[in-house]
Amino acid sequence: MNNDQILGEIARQIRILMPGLQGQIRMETVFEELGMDSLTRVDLLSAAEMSFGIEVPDDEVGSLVRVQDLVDFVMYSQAAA
Amino acid sequence: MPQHYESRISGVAAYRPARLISNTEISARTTVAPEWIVERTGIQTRAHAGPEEDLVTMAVEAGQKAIAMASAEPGDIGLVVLATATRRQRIPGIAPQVASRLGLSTAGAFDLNAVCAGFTYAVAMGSNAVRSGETQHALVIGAERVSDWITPDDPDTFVIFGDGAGAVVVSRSAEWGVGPSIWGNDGDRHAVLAMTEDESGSEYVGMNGPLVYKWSTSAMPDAAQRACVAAGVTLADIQWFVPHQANCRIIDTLAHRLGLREDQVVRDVVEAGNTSAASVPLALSRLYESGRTSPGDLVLLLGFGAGLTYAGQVVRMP
Repeated sequence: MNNDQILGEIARQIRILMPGLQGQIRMETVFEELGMDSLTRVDLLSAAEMSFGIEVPDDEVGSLVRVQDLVDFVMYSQAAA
Repeated sequence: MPQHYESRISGVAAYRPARLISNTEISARTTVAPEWIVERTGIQTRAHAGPEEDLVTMAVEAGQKAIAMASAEPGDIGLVVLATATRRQRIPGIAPQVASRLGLSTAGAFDLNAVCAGFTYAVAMGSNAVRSGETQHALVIGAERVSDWITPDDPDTFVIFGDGAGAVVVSRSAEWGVGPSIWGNDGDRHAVLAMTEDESGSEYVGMNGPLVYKWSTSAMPDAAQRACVAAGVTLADIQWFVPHQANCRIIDTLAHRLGLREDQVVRDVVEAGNTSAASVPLALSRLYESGRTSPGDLVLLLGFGAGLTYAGQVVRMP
């Protein structure tokens, strides 16, 4: 998957978790600025784990705070697999 | 060759401390708003035990009522297993004091510390003792005073934890009423929920909420499935789900991932908060007292938390 495809899938998962969300989801979007709390962010990471077949280690959870962070992590994980 | 028996829960009871702490009171002592607490945890109140409501007293109160419900003769109760993680005095354990106050002078008695999973581990110990013929009845208690180990300076834990005690009697039975237990651990993650020290050296419970949430919601669905398989049932057979009352976010996510309906899930946490090892028996007691159950209903118990460790089993309602 390329960057845009990963972004599209992450945006889709965010809208499932936050059905009332308005506005666009971009690479530079910070999860917290969407009104996403830390537990919903964990739900997003779990969804990404399932969707992309990756595993987010505990010590990465706190650092994945923007869409770009997660896209980069997915790209890195897939390249390393 | 020793004879083997089946076991069932014959009595269940609770002791709930008198003083309930509202979210407004919590808010006044911390930096968080009542709305944040509800949105984040679903908790409306939690009980903080008073000076007279020590662990032994609460455990005795719950145990006494469970024994009465079971109509068990004290002389036939050969084992007391008490799950707790919040004793101030580390030696001795308190199970012998509880047993003595209940008149169970010939019972084996010991404490078990598996923190929030303690009660379901204790049920396994009690059930195994009954099934092996070592005793006719086992008294299994979860009792906690977590309020002794939290501070308003750490709202993540201060808003959720509470105190209380719950107990069951596990009795010899012709038909199975306590399924085989499943368990496991992830000790590499021990630091995500652990006692820590502040600058003055005082110990308090510290928690990395997101990591506890991630582990609970990702690892526990499989544990729940395993408990069902061990009992020879499926999740579709389960009528009631009594998980550790961590918070509503974890409980609801777990229930959703297990495909359980909202009305099958017990949420004692809303009023009692997270009472660690006492949470499962308190929730089971609330379910029984609700009058919504019938004897024989299948209930999935699942304890999980600090360690990280977990245990669960399918039981039948008394």
